[in-house]
Amino acid sequence: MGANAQTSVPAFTAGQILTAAEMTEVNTGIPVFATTTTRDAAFGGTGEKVLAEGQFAYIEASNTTQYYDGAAWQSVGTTPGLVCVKAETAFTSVTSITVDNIFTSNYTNYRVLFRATSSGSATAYIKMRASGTTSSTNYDFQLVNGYSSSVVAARATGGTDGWRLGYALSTYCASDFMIYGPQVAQATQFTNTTNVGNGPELQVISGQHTLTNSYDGMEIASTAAITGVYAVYGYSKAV
Amino acid sequence: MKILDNDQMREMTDEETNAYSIWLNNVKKQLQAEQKAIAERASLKQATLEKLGLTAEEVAALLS
Repeated sequence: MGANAQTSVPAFTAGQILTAAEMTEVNTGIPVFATTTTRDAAFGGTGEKVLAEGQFAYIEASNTTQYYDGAAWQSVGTTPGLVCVKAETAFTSVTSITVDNIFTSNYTNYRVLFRATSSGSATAYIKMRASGTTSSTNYDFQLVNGYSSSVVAARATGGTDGWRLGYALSTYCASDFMIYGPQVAQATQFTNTTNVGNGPELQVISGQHTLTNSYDGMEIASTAAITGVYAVYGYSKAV
Repeated sequence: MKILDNDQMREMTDEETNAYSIWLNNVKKQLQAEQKAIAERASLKQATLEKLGLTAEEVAALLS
């Protein structure tokens, strides 16, 4: 609890002589609470203000300013549509990257931005993880490859490889990869637009993982060592 | 082989290395099949163009 935090919002009475501590608390401005629990407990008790519309509060735990609209607490400001849930992370000469506890019920759909190079020829895949274990079956995808005037399609079903993420060569590949519903206990879908290393060469890929499990993480596996960065974003469900 | 495991860089365990080897073997087979299908499609395309006596650009213009 910070120096400004309080656990009660007092209701002063006529003629009451305020202490220095009470005046100092008033001088904080918007009342500050450690958590929403202490906020809720600070109103309506003996000697406390009754919570009413227009009351403001600052919550230390989430670093947010809130107002009470008469029915519920609302956050001041707009809710961002895209929220970074995994900060951009660099990797150097690895064949596997695992990250857990990034897919939660806070978001339904996620975006993975991936950029990598390889000293050899590396094809990277994404596989889903739950509680630290990678799921290695039931991956389907449909791929369309465009190179100059040649457009070729390919398909893989019931595979163990994972979903095609990117193809890195001595120049970087870049992938914009969407995962739909990984945390929901239903089949998970994906779409991917990727520029192949040593391009320009386009691959557009979509598919699904047909097991109806709930996943909290992913593994990026590559056929050769890769170096680059990735980040994960969640799409907000609320306005 | 190195793995970035939840932001911690380390060597793969023996179990992880074995699992990776199996996965890699399966992926290489799938990629080879994919490249074979692409090459066959390219050969068929070229043979068809030659049969028609047209260039790829002429076919693209025809179909536009």
